[in-house]
Amino acid sequence: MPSLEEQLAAHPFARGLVPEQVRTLESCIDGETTWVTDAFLVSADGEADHCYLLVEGAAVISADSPGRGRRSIQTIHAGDVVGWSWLFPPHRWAFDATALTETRALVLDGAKLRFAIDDDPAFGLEIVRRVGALVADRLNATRLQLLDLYGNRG
Amino acid sequence: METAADLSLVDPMAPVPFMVLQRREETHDTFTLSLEPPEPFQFRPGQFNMLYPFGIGESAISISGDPAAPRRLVHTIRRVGNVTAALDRLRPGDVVGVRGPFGNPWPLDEARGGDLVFVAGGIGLAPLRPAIAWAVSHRDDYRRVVVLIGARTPADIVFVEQVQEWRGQFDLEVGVTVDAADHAWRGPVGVVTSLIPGADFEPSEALAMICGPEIMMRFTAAELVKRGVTTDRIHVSVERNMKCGIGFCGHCQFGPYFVCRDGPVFRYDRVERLLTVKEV
Repeated sequence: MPSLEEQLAAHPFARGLVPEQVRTLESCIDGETTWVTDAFLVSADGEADHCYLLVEGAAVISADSPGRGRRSIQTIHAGDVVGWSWLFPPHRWAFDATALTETRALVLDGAKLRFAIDDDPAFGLEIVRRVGALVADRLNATRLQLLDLYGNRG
Repeated sequence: METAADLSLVDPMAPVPFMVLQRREETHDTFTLSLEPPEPFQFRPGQFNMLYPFGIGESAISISGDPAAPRRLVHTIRRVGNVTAALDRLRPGDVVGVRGPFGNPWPLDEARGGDLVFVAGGIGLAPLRPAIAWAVSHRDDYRRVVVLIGARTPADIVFVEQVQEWRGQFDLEVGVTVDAADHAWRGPVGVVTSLIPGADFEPSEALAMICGPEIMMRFTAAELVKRGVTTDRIHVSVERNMKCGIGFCGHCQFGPYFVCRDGPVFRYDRVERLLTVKEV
């Protein structure tokens, strides 16, 4: 099994960082965690004190809707980041995420990451760029879902 | 022996009566009719017929059955208007008029020796199903075969049993994703484009065939291009208001093309610009 540092260096989130920035990211590692199928990775309104980088498995982002049960919004896989609530105040998760299969993630300490972002603007820019790309991807995916892509062919 | 297709070529405007063998409900708004041709009916995957419920009108419907089964002509239809509602009322033993087959097929020959990527959105799986059936029955002609399917919800997936059968084949990669689902759905959630980055194919050797609403085809083609597939290796099936089926009436004009005669399958680089022309 590769070390946590090796797994971090191989994760798409770390791709393109210079060695010094990878070391800064490594200093934020707070272990790894595994969830069994159907376990909650994060819960809506829970404290977003960690950033999870998926390395194995898949999870679904969902929301509970009164009277309609839990609605699945998007699936994320190994190589994805669970969310960005750890970066932005009030640091609380907006949605639930549950494991579709046994799922493993590297855990980064959210407070340490935020401190490193503030402390080293070049590192901060790289991290915010990655989170920005993540937000843009998820926004585009959501827009496509809203467009009801499959609705018109007779 | 003269086939029904030959009869249409003799007089392509004259419908030939076919008997309904079976009607099957696919989803809440989509059904499949199996018809018995008076003679074996030859077609190529991607072609369409004009179906005529007598006294109501005609509608262009893609053929969704297996080209290797010429005695059973299959169409999958979404209820969207008067003609498709009349087709929906047909029951086994009823008769419907058929003209066709019309149009250009999917370029399955061109894909030989390389990877095949099928991307279907909603009922867009229907015009691709004959091509997928062809690829399955000529599996040695291709390297990897990937089928990616998107639907609004799990209940909107057409040909569920067949999709499950394809998923059971070790030499086919089949991905299915839905836009929205409750927690009982264990598969991916997201639009079909989200399946493309992780699909197992070699972009430089792949030929892609996309069918679905135009907006879905545009975003899918963009994602394939991002993956490295060139636009001359992407084919789409376009729908317009087909009437005569033989390029005479002009109802289905699409820039310099008539969809019924020059399409419905087009190479993407030839129609990409046309697909972004805004309607007035």
